[in-house]
Amino acid sequence: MRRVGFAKAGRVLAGLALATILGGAADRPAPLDVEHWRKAFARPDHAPTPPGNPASPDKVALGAKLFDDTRLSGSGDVACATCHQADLSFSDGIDRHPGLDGQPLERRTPPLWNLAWALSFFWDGRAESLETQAIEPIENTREMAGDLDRSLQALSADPQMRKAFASAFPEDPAVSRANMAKALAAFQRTLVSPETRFDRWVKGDDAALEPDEIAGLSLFVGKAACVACHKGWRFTDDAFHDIGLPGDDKGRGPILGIAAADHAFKTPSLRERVWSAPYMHDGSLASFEDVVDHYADRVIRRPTLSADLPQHLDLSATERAQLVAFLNTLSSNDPPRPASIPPKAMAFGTDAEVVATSTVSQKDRRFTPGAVVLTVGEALRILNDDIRVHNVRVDGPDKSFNSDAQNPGDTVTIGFDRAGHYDVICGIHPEMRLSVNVESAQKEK
Amino acid sequence: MKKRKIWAGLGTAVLVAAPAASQSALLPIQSQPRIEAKADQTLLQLAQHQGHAAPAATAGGEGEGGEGEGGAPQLPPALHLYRGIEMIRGHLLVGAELIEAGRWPDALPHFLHPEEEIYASIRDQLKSYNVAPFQVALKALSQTVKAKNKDAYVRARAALDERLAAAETAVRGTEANGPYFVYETALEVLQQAADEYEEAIEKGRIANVVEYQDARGFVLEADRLLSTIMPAIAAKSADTAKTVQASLNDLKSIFPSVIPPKQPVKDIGQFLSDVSKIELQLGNLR
Repeated sequence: MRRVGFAKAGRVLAGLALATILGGAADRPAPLDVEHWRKAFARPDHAPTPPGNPASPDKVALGAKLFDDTRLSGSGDVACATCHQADLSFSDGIDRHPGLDGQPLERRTPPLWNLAWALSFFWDGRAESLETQAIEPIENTREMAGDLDRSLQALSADPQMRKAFASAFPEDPAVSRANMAKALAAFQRTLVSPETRFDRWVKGDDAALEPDEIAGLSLFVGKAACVACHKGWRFTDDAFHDIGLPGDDKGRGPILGIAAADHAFKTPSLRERVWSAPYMHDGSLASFEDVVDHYADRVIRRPTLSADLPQHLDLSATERAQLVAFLNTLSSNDPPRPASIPPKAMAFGTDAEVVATSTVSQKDRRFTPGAVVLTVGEALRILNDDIRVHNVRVDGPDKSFNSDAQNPGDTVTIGFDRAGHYDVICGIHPEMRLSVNVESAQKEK
Repeated sequence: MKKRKIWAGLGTAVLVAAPAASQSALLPIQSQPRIEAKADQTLLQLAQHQGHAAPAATAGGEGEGGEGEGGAPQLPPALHLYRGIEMIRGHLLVGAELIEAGRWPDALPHFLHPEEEIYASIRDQLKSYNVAPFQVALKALSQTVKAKNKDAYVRARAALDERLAAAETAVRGTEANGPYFVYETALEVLQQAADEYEEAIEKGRIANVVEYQDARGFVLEADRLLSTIMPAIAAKSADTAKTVQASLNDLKSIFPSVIPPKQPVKDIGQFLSDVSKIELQLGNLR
């Protein structure tokens, strides 16, 4: 280093020391980038619906009826709404609902807000669509223990139900399993959480939040790094994280067959959570204060712990209270009712520019580029240049691939021997989507 | 020095200079303002809780949370806060009785009132005593009652009870004379019970069920509160303890059940007479 370099470094160090002496300026949080976060947390104009199940008022109405219909259960006295109570934010207010055998179910009943935007369903993400999800609790022997064939017979014998199915599905009016699933899914997609004080702040009303709440927001997106997982207007990344809770439940790991994803559960949305305590997949935390205390003091350190958690989180009592104050602003002041928001058919996927390359990065939980074109026989190399464990998956009719745990530094290579379109995702971070078009060599010529 | 309005009998109010002993001079003042009975009110008025319209000592608007009606002085912050917490407990107590009786819709007002009528008046004081806010817990609890979900109610109730206990500990910890402070608080709760009871009775019958139940909850809560310091009272004066217990028993007898009798067991004058007997013992705790 040249002398001038030393002099410059000395000035910088002296400046830092002075700043520290003058009240710890170096420790002060960075000022909140208000415009950035207002954009990041802005609510959408439309609720997405899949092209294969467009929404209609009749379909939603049928779904709402089915949601309350105890004929879907084996015993005839349990409905979806038994656990997903509208008055309790479509949850049940307890840690784990008793199953039909009298023993608590494995996991907490999740609230149903904003599932239209979700990428996977259940705490472990084992269902890829709401249509798939809707049927599983009905047939689960500990939840509703339903016999769908028998239930469909009972519904078919009900003239009003036949009429409702015919109105909801004019092109295929059958009282069928598929239509039942579609109607239930369509209804659940209408459960959009209403605007809260925080949304007023997002829209530009500076006075909508009090100073403590703003301070809590600053912590949320800054020092506490909550936003690493609780991102976007729903405050979830739809990914799976081990957040260091005690317990034997392996969560996402067994679904993927990857030990690195053990203890990982889907990031829950933070919308309307005032009305849906207790918290976490096992309902083990009673209050927001308990949740904040968990992240600050009680995280169990183990190899599967999410890389998105701060390594050390030192929060004062005031900071904890500020975080709680902010979390409260994501819930309605009064018991919430679903907001009306128009549906719009949207296909999930990437609209990224297609690049002819065979190497893809995963830095910052993103496939880059997001869309590639290959020729048949060419191998795709996906490099984990991120700080997190990933899992590359292809689940399609023509190809199925699961990379196992892909640690930072690992490269996954996938060969494509047939032309076609393939969707590649990360099983741990399903918002990571890569579109792969494989073209025949002849076409390229 | 705080002046306290007490009732020595029907239609007679007195001021006691606190912390005065029971031998303090009793000075007659004006009659307590009364709420006019409405001729068209019927027996079943579950949804017509009056809100008590008393200005709050601090921010928070109308409701049970305030005091100072009729120009009476505001309470010291600690007493105001502790009174608010115990009134919340009184509501929860009678609400729980109704839930146990399977009367969920009747219970709901008693779970809504703490948040709607009391919490706002103590919010700032909770902060000054470094007590975590518990408005969310109140809301969540009332929602479980609305949902008629017993399991959720039990869980939410336990969570709120934890918060209330923490708040009580924080406030009591600042008081040098704990038993005196608790006694003062119980008296304030009983005074509110008297207001409720007066509102409950119209034309010689119990016309406003919710107010009757509020009064019952506050009396039972005051009884619970005083029971926690009864050994300390007895240690100072066995006679005082005996007098207080007898008066409490009289007050409780006014509320034979959570569902009110058609005819009041006692009128408001007799109720206030019992309260005054308890109040006159306050000085013995100094």
